[in-house]
Amino acid sequence: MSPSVLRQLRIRFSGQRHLALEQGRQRLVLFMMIFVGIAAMLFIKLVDLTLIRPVQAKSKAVAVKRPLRADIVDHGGVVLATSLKVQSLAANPRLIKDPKVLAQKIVAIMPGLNEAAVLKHLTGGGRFVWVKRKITPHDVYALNALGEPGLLFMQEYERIYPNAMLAAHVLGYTDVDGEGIAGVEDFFNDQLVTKTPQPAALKLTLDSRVQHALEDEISKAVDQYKALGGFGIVMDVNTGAIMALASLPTLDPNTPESAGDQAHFNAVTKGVYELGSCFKAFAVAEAIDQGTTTPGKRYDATHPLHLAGFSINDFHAERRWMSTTDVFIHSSNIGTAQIADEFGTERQKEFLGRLGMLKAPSLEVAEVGKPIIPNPWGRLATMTVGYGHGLAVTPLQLASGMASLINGGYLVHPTLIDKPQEQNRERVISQATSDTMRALFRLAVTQGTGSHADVDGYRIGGKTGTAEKPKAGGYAHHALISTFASAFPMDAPRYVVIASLDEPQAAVATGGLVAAPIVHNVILRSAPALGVMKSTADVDVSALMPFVAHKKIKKRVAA
Amino acid sequence: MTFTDASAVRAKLAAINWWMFMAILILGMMGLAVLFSGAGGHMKPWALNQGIRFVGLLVIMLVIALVDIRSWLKVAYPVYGIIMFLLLLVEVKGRVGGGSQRWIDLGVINLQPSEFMKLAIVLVLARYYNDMPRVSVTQWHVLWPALAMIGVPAILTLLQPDLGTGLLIVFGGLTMMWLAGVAWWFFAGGLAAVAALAPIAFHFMRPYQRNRILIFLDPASDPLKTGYHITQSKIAIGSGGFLGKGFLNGTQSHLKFLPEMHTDFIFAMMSEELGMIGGLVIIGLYSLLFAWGLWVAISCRSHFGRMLGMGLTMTIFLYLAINLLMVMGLAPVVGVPLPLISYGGSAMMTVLMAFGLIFCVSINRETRVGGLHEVG
Repeated sequence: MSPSVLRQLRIRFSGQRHLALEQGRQRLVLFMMIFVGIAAMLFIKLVDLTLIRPVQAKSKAVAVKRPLRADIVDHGGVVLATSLKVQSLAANPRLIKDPKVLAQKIVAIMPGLNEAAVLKHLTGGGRFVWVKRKITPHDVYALNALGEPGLLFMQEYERIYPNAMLAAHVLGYTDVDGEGIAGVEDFFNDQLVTKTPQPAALKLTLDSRVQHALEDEISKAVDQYKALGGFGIVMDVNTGAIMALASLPTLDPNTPESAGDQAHFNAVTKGVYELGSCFKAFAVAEAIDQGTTTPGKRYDATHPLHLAGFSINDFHAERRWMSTTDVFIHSSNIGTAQIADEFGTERQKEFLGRLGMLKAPSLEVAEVGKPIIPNPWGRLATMTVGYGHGLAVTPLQLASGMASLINGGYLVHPTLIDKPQEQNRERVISQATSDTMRALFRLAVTQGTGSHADVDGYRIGGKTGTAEKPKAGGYAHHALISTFASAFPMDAPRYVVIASLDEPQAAVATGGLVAAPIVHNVILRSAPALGVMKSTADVDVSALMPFVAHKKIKKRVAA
Repeated sequence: MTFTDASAVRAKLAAINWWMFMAILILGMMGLAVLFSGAGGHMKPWALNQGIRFVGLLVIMLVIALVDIRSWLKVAYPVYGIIMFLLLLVEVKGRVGGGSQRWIDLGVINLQPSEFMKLAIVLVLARYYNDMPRVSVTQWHVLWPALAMIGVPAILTLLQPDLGTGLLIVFGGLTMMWLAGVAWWFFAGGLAAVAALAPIAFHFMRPYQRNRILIFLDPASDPLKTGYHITQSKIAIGSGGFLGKGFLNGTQSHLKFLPEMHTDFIFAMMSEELGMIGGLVIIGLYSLLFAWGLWVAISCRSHFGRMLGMGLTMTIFLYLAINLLMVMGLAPVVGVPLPLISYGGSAMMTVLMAFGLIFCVSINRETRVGGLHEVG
C-alpha cells in the first residue's frame, strides 16, 4: 500500500461517515469471505477428485466372474446371443515366490502376452488379480503343469454373438464383467443373469432374415450415397412388434470397444430428428379425422406463405391450387401448413401427445431419446410441425405413429417382446380416417413422390421425407435426412417399413430418390419371410382419384 | 472521451497493471492450448477462431480501460436502456416468430443482448447508488427502481429460458444492492421468500430443467442419461491425477466420452491432460485477478468506481464459480461457460469487457466523478 492510499483510508474512517463506512467494511469482509470460502471449496473438491477419491471410469471389483447369461433368440429361435463356458487365469500375488520367473514361464506358454504386463499383475497388491481372461484348454493344461500354487483357474462365461453385427443395436453388449451395458442386454440384465443352470432363452420379436435384409440394403445405400449413416425399422402395425431394427454405422457386440463413437449410437431409438414430410401424414390424418379438412378441400399453393419473417415454400413447387389429396401426394409444405393452421395449435399438441410423440418412447432397450419440442409452440410452429420441422422425434416414434394411422386407428406401443395383442386398444383416429390414410399413402406411391418404392403385387404405400439437418442458427442446406416411411400391403396393412439415410451425397438426395429404393428392396427380399403374398387386389383409391390433378398411369416397377 | 492527447493516453497505458494483463493473457493462452488439444492437435475447428476473437477482444478491453471513467458514469442509463430495448426486441421477435432465436445477427458475430445485460446491470446500479444517499437505500422509493432494473431483464432471460444468464443478472444485481448498504432484513426476507417459493418455481420449470436439479441431487440415479454430463466430467477430472496424462493425451475427452467438452465442460478436459496442477493454475490466476479487482475497488475514491469494480469482480467470480461448481458436481448443470477458457465468444466478450472496466476504475482511482459519496 502506497502512503497516499493509506492516508486516504485513514481519512475515510474518520468523521461523520464513520458508522456507515464501518458497516460497509463489514459487508466487504463478508463478501471476501464468500470469495475465499468458495475458492477453498473448489480447491478441496479438486484435490478430492484428482488425488483422494478419483471417480473411476469402471469400478472393477476384482473377483467378479463373468456370469452365465441366458441366450437371446429371435422369433424363429435363431440364437442371437449365447454364453460359452471358458477358463480364465488369475493369480494370488501373495503366494508367488518368484514372480519374475513365473512371468517368463507364463509368457513361454502364451507368447501373445507381454511379459512386463504379466509381471506387473503378479507383483500387484491384494490377493486376487486377473492375468488373462479366456484361455484355451491346451494352455490351461500347460499352466497347470507348472505346479504354481499362486495361479488360479477361474471358470466363467464368455458372451458370444454368433452373427456378429446382426441386430447389434437391439442386442447391445456386455462389459468386461459380463454385465449388460447396452440394448436388450442392459434392459433385461437382471432377467438374463440367473442362478438357474439352464436359463430359458429370451425370445425377441426380431426376424433375423428380415433383419439381415434391412441391414444389408441400408448398408449398400450408405456406401452408394457415401452417407454418414442410415437407419431403418420393420414393425408389425397391429402389435407394434419390431421385426427388424437397424442403425448404421454399427458394431460387432463381441468387440464393442473397438468400434467408433458413432457406431455405439442407436439412431432409431436414441436419435431425434426432424423427419420432414413424413410428418405430413399426421397433419392430414388429424385434420381429416376432426373434419377441419376433407380429401377434396382445396388450398392456395400458388405462392410461398409468409409469416413473421419466415417463408414457407415447396420443394416440388406446383404453383397452383391443390386438393388435400394433392397436397399429400405431391408433398406441399404450403398446403400442409394451411391444413395444420386450420386444425390449430392446441388440437395438434393434443393429437401428437396421444400418439406419444411428445415424450420419450418406451422400448425394451436401454437407449431411448427424448423428443425436442418447439418452444414456444405458437402459430408458426404449428405450421412447421405440420410438415415435419420444429419437432424432432425418434424414428421409432414415426414408425409406431404411422402404424397407428393405418391399422384402423389404434394406438401402437412398439415392443421387442412377443405379447398377445392388447384387448382394449386405445383409438387415435376413426376407422374411416384410417381407410382414407391407406388410400393416400398408396396414391403417394402410385401418383406422387414415392414411386421408387413400388413393388409389383405388394401394394406398398408410403410418404417421402427430406429434412435439412439443423445447425447453429438455421438449417444446413446440403446435410439432409432423407427418409421413406411406408407400409404394406396397403389394402390390409401388416408391416411398417421405414428407411432413412443420414447426409446422402447426391445431386438430388430426396427421400423419394435415395430412401424409397431401400424400402423397395427390403420388401422384395423380406415379404416371403413375413408371410405377405403378392396379389392383384389393391386399395380402393377411387374415392380420392377425382381430387388428383395430374393422373399418371401406374408405373410398373420390375419385380 | 478524447484520444487526441497522446501523452495522456501514454500516461494511462503506463498506469495499467500489466501484471494483471499478463494473468489474463496466460488464462487465454491456456484456453487456446486446451482447445488445440481437444481438436486432436489441430488449430481447427476451435483454437484459431478463438485466438482471433481473443486478440480482438483484448484490444477492446484496453480501449474500454482508456475511456474516462466519467464517460462511463454518463452513459450508464442510456447503455442500460439500449440493451433493455434489444432484449425486449429479441424476446418479442422470438415469441412472434415461433423460433427460439434470442440473438441479433450482425453477420460476423451473433450478439445476445442478455450477455451485455450482465455488465449493464452492474454499470447502471453503480450509477444509481452513486446518486442515492446511503441512509435511504432501504427506503421503498429508492428500493423499487433498483429491483425493477434487476427484475425485468432477469425475468426476460429466465423466460427464454436461459437459467445461467438469468442467475448471473440476479446475483450481480443483488451484489450491488448489498454493497450499496441495503439492510440485512431485506436479504434475509428475500432468502426466506425464495425458500418458500422454490417448490412453486420447481412446479413451473420445464421438464429438462427440473431433471437437471433432480440429477444434481442424485447423479447416480441416471448415469447414462442426464447425469452423464456430471459423471463423465468427474471421471475425466479424476483420471488426470496430480500431473495429468500430458498435453494432447486425454482419452476421456478425445474419445468424446465427455459432452460439451470444448464449451461448458472444458475444465474437465483440461484437468484430464494437465491434472490438478493445471486446475490449480487456473484457480490461482483467477484468485489473483479477484484479489486485485477487490483491491482496486476498495482503494477507489469514488463510490461509482468502488461499486463498479466490486460488482464486476463479482460478475466474473460468479461465472467462474458456477462453472467450476457445476463441472465438479457441486451445483446443477446450468450452462455457464468457463470464462477465457471455454470455446465461444459471448462469455469471453463479457469477461474481457468487465476486466476493461476494472482496469478503467484502477486507472481512475483518484478521479472525482461527482455524487453524494465523494470522500477525501
